[in-house]
Amino acid sequence: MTKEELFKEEYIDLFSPFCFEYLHELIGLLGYYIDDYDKSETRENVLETLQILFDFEILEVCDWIQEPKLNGQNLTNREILNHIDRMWLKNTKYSDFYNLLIFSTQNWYTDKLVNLGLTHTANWKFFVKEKIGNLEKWLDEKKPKK
Amino acid sequence: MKDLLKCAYLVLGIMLMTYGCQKDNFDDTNPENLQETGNNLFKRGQLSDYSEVKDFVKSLKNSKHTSDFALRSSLEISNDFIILEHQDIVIHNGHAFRTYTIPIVKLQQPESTFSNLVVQFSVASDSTNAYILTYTPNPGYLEDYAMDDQTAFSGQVSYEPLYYDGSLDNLQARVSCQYVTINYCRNGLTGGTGSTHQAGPRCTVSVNMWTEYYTVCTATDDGGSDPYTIEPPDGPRGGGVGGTTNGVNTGSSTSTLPANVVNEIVSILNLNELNNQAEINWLNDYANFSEVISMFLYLDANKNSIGTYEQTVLDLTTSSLEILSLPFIVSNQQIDYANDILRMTNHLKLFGNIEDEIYAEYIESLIPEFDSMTINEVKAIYAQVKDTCNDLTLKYLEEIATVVVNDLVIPVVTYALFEATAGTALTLLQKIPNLVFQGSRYTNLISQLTQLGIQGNQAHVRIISTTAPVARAEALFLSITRNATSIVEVAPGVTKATMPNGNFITYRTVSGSGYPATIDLNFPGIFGSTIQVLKFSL
Repeated sequence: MTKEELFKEEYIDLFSPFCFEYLHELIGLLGYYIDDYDKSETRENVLETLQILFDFEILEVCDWIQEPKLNGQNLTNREILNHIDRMWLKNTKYSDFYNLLIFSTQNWYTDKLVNLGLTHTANWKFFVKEKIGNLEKWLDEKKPKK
Repeated sequence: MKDLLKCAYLVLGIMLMTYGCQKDNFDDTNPENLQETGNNLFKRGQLSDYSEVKDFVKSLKNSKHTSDFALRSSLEISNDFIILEHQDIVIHNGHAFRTYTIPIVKLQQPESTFSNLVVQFSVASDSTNAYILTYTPNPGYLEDYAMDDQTAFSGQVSYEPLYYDGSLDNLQARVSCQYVTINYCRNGLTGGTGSTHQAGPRCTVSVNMWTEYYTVCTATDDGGSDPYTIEPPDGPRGGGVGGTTNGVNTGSSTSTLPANVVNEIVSILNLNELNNQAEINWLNDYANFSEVISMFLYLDANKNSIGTYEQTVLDLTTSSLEILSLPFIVSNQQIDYANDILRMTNHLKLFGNIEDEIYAEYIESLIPEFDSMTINEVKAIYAQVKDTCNDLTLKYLEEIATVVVNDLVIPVVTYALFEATAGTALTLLQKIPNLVFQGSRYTNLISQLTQLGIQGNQAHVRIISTTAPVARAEALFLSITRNATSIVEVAPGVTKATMPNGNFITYRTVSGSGYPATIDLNFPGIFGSTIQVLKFSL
């Protein structure tokens, strides 16, 4: 999954706040089914998608359920992705994903969107079109500077 | 051992007391089987007199000395019970199953309870099903029974599926609920009407006998069960259809089906024996057909509010019965082929879609050619049209059930989630008829659930803002997972129900977005790969 593909209308929902909370939800949103969980293509696309969302500083892990010692640690995006890749074992079943980790949306992002008028029932695609325009450019400008 | 013997005596006493009156039957029953001089539904006898069930029990046993606990069969050992072979068994001959109810005593039989092993043999196939029901009578019931052996059972019943690692089919099947039916009777001892009691061979007047339906479910993966409360009803159509559930995890409910669905349909449609004998015969032959039950549910729900739409459904139902009751070809039968084919094609044109209409007109165009065809060719065409028309007609009737879900059940669910008090919501959701949770009705129900509330930021998310969101979400989850093959906690605060056909429903109180309760619907056949999410909030 490339950044260019992710910003297409098909996947633009993935940038909306709290679009997915579990890894298997993201897998489903990318068009993969339970039978695809162990395919290398699935893992590759999921991790690439996560990397883009982490790099824009809009996604975070709010609970490392399986490895609680990671909670509160200041991990780099690369370290987060490595941990996810490691925890996502072969033969991980649908129900196992509920016991891995929970994603959330970073506060700065939701704050800025709420200031623009986003509510929890606003249509994201319409909101982006009307209030933001070029989302990629907007994110580059607004994301916290390191 | 002393306690065990005490229990055994109790079971013995109850089985003797219930002679000729009480029975539990667990399959499709048909009170129409009753004859005025008795009925052939119930029999009693010794295990040794019935070769079918005797062979079945024998095949599960290593030894005949069942009173010796050391020599029990693997089935008895693994399920901690012993069959009381010297006790009478009860035999019920239903349309679909022959059911044998065999008294047993469990190793840890709770005081003042009794248990039966129920073994069902399918009439149509070789399949076998077996499970244990344990009864806990209400206080005073045993005393009342001692005074009057017509006293109907009141108390709780628990269901335990049997797991058997042998070759007998279906014994290993993971069945989470049993549809328990109990026949009641109100015939008086010397004729006329008497008090409500459980039916037995002496119940001879069909109008005084009726059936109540109870769904008893297991609640956990380890085969444990939550009890279901059974109270005898007041009468065939009055009073309570027995029972309240204990705890929210039972998934139990009472059925809305009356004793005789056919009679109800005949009454609502004003069918009479003079003009509609064929239709009544068809209804009786297919009394347990899902379409017949769907038909009843719709008609019954709308019988007092006949508007244009309901009138159309009434017309469709009546016409459908006429069409379905047209004869299949048997030898030497006098059939007006052209006329009956016209009736069928008219029906298709009236109630079918454009495809059906094209088909009907094609068939009608063949009728003038019948004179130039052989009788066998005409018969073949009639048979083809009859088959096709039956299939389509049953499909139309199935659509009636879909309307039940869309037009009747969903508003109740909506009311339960948004307007009713939390306690009432629980009741409303638990009481949804089991038939709604089967086949295409269930698919429709799940689809409709994703229209509840307001769409979130994404199309796959619905926001349901209500009071007591956690209680309502939990009640909804328990209701829609009634037919789950398993319900397990897969992570802290996350409960996953495995549904038939590779579907999952998850209820969780953990969330990255701060919602107190969430239900995830994973139905690839309906929604593709995207999990639908119902988020509950204040």
